[in-house]
Amino acid sequence: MGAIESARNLPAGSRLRCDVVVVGTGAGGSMAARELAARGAKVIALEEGSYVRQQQMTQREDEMMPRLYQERGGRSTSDLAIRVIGGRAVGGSTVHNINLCKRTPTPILELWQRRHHVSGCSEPELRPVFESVEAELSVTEIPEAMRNANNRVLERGVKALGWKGGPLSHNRVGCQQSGFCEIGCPFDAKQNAVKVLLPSALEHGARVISDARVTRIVHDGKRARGVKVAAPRGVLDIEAGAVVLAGSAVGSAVLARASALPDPHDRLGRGLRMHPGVAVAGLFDERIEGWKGIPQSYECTEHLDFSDGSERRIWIITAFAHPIGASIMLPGFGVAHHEWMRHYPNIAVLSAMIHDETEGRVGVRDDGRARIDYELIDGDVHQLALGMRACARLLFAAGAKRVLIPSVPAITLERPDQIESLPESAARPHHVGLVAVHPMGTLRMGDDARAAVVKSTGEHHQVERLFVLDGSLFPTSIGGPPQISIYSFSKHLSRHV
Amino acid sequence: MTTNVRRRRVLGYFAGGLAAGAGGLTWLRVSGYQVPADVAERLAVLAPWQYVVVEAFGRRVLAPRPIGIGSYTDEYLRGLAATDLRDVGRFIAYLEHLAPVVAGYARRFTALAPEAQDRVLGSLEESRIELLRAGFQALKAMAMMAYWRRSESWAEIGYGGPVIDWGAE
Repeated sequence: MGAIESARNLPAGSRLRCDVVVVGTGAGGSMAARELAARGAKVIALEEGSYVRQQQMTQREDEMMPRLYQERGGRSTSDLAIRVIGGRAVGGSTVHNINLCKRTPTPILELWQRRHHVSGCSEPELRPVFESVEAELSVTEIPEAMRNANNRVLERGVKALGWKGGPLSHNRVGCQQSGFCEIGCPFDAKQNAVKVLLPSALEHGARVISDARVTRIVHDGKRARGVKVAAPRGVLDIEAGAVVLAGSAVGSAVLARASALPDPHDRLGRGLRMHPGVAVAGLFDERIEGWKGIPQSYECTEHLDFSDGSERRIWIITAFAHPIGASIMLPGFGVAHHEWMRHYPNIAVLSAMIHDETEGRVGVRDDGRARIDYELIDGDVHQLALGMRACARLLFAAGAKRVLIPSVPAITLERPDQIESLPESAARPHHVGLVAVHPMGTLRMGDDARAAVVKSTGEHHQVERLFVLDGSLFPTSIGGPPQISIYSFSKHLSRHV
Repeated sequence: MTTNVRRRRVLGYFAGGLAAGAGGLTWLRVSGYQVPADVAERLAVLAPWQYVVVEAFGRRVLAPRPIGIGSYTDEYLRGLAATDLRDVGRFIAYLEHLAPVVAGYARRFTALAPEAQDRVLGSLEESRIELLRAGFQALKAMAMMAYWRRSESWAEIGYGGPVIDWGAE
């Protein structure tokens, strides 16, 4: 079995040849690389980030954010209103994600079939794929005994209000419950792309090369022929029989647009959904110490309904952060800010993430980085406001003494009867810190070439042998954590490559 | 011809005056800032005057337990793209020279009393101009990173920090 290589060791001007070059090594790319290599294809998988080994996971925010995240964790929409999180390391976002495992909701799959002309991806067709992916990644329900205090707050609130909620599932084995999942696991407990799929791809003969930033898809307008790579020692050329884009809904769209792919219906990069979320904090008499234990293990689905036209599009989970993240999220500065930080061990944090209908666009800035244009529509702002109120209700129902809405200016609620008067403007971008961790939908799938970039097989409508196998495919938001959907669609569609 | 020459001469004087004025303003903008020589030598991104502004910002944002954030900020900025650095530089200049004027003060931010500095910062945090809010948040984030990355800071709030120490393995 080969090992993960670094492009640092490849001389400038190197020319490599393979059957399939896979761009990106996250959920989509690692699965595609493994599936194709297992079928006997000569595969090269490229990753722009580095290979961060288990022993390099220091559990320090200041060190790990620049190593594992795009733009050192500082990527945001072009108006600077929403922080957009994405992975940049071998394993992509599966290295820093919180391992939540949910299948694509059936009503969403039906909607895609009905309205977006997606074929071959119905729930009965995908069910065995989901089952196989979940088995390979060791997906299990998170046991109640592993529920930390912050998640017990959410559970208590859900039960006190009689709302819908329940335990989440994850892909961890041997978890030490140290609570640092979002900055990499030093215990190697995540059953992710790096732990499970890339070793399997290597066993089947694939090459996995880190520190290799793909700058262009080589094509003649009709057929993909390879990629150009910016490596530390110079430009590399990779000739391939097929190109698979799996660099995330942001990264793949940037590459597609930078490569001047045919775009007769102006669809490239459009349709971006981000599943944006807002956090709400509650102050408790008891110590919560939310930084300890599995960060997210329980969900509230009271306000989540995936049926077409639903106005209940809010998924509520916990959202605790380590001190740097927490201090940035808390509004204000100076003494008032320090006072909130002093309460840090007694704070529980919930997040309302919305199944968004806003359609943004990914473009390319002059310096080659992503330009993310995404202006929340009023309906989504309304959902965020409803989500903030729902979080506040849950926190009070769980026993919070005070609730903080981290808007500017900060809003502190002393009693539940103040929740209704919470202004909708508190949920507007720039008035409150918004974070998006699940970008999707910039190179949409569907059999109608006027509305979609790729066919239901994942192959580009105009450029043969160019495939998209990541979250860019999704015609809408899926309203939840996307890793199982991305792994599964990649596995399901890679047979067409 | 004579008229043309006169016009060009007048335009030339005008342009020269503008250049001299701009030069003077630039000199005013960057003069009068004291930074220890050894610190100034180590700066890779921030100009000495920007370092002073960032330090003053940190003192108010991190009150009541401020620490110096200038060197950390300079180090952090080394990893950013040129366009981001340009935006940070513009915000620092705005904070020092224009934000106080907008808030009703006729002095630089670094020359204001702490209470006045707080009012200027409050006006930026709540500004109706979204880019100014974002600029404030970006610089605040750097101050928070500088402060909350330290184990001494963690002790204040009972945060245990990393549970693994690879160095001790």
